[in-house]
Amino acid sequence: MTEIPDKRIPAAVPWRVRAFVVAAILPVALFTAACLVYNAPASPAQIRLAGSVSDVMDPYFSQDWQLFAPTPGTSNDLLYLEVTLRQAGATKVLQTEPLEIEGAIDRTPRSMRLNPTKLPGVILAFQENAANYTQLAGQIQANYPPSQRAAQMKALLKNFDPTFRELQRFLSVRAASLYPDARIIAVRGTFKEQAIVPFSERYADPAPKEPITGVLQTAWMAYVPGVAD
Amino acid sequence: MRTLTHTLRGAVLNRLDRAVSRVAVREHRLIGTAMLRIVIGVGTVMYCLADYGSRQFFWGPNSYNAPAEAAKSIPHLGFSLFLWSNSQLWFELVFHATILVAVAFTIFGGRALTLVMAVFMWSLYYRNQDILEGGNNLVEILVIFLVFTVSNAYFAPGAKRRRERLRTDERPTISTATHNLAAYLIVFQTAVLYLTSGYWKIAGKVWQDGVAMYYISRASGFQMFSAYAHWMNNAYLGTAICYFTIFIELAFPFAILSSRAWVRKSVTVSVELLHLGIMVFMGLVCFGLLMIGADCACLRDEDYRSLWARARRLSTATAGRLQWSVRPAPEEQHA
Repeated sequence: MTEIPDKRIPAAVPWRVRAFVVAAILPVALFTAACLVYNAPASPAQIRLAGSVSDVMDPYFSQDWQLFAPTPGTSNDLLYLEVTLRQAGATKVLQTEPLEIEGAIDRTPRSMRLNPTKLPGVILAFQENAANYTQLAGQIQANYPPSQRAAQMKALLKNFDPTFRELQRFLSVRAASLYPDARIIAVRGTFKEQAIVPFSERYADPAPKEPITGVLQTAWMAYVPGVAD
Repeated sequence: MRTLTHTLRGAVLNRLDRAVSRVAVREHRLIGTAMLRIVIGVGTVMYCLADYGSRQFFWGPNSYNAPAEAAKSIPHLGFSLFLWSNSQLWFELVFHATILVAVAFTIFGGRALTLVMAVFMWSLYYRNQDILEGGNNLVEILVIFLVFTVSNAYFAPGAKRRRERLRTDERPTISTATHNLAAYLIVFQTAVLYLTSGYWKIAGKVWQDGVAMYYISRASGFQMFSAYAHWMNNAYLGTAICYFTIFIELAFPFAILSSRAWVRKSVTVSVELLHLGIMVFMGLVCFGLLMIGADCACLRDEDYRSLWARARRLSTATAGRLQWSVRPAPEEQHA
């Protein structure tokens, strides 16, 4: 009786191919295991392994898929801009009324629906940072004795310094586009939020008007000329 | 005893060779990886062109996101060619090179070009991390794996010749094994994304309540059509879409392992439709496109062949019916 050879399998696999496949499967298996642990929900086991797994995954394979499953926000963010300026030919310094600028920015993608601008992403990032800053500042007020609060707040501000510098430059660009003929001196941003009408009240008549609540107001920041030129 | 050892060694080697042959003899998922290549290239070009007029504002040396601040937010071992110099000329050079490399990568593919593409893509994303949409995180990883695949065996100049060469060579090779292991990692990473995403959704109260779509449709930054918010007022429609999303995301990793082709194809097409909806109604065009590219890599070559055959049958049948409907009535012919 003769054995019918399996045509899918060549008679002999070269040793170098055998060795390569066996060696290559090791990092592949390592990535597979690390990726599963990295993405697993926090548990005592996951927390114990997290450090070693991060060594494998960071920075080139770092990932956060919770972004893909957000608990959608139940409020919309608002950003108000105030400016101190001198009108052309005038000597008196004026302070403008707070102007909500986020709504207009959020609508910009609609002008090019096939390939929309990423501009709303900038504001979204600022809003997230403002909310984080407010939360951490609140924790300092709640958890530290009065004698340590100033030092803690200083450290927090230092951590958020790049974000506020970015915001300063961003608000400077917006101010320059809003008041092109004026000499702008300083800008200030105020972050607020307005709750979305709850699902259960969506047909209420008259339509409920949700209150606007403050999140964070920045200090006056010097105008930065020449941004994005 | 010596014969037994010899037989045992032979059996182990035989098993090893069978396993190695499965990985090293024939390239799998050639069509999917080619489609992923095209989508990454087109997505990168679109990403640059969407804000081409505002490129100074987003990525330039005088951007609101100053180079010094951007450099601080790059993780250890990360890099961005954009931050190597603060000169305007360097910025214009790197930005336009990114577009050109993406176009060349879309058309030609190939391992060397994929590596260059990865460098420019990572550089672009790290230059300004404020405006990333999430899809970038997946392709940053997938493009590393794509470097090791044959991504130009379809939809590229010389693809037919390349395929013939691959088919004629039935010996196990290191190159084939590299391709297949990288293709496995692409599929695995995409599956993990859907599994994790589905898990977090099912654990979220608004998704359980079926009202997540209502709140998403009212987020001011993602409102492309007012009709979308209006439709999501409907409790039945909103709940159905919430549950459908969770179901297909959790099903995806298991579906692509299924031996039944219709399960693989239907779940993958459903996930792609989901992303098409995100592109149209939420305006996340680059995100949706990149996700569709990753989904494409998860179907097998035979799935694409059968889908193509079905599409051709359908178009033939439709053409036949149209011809029938425009043919003049017998009375008219007679007259």
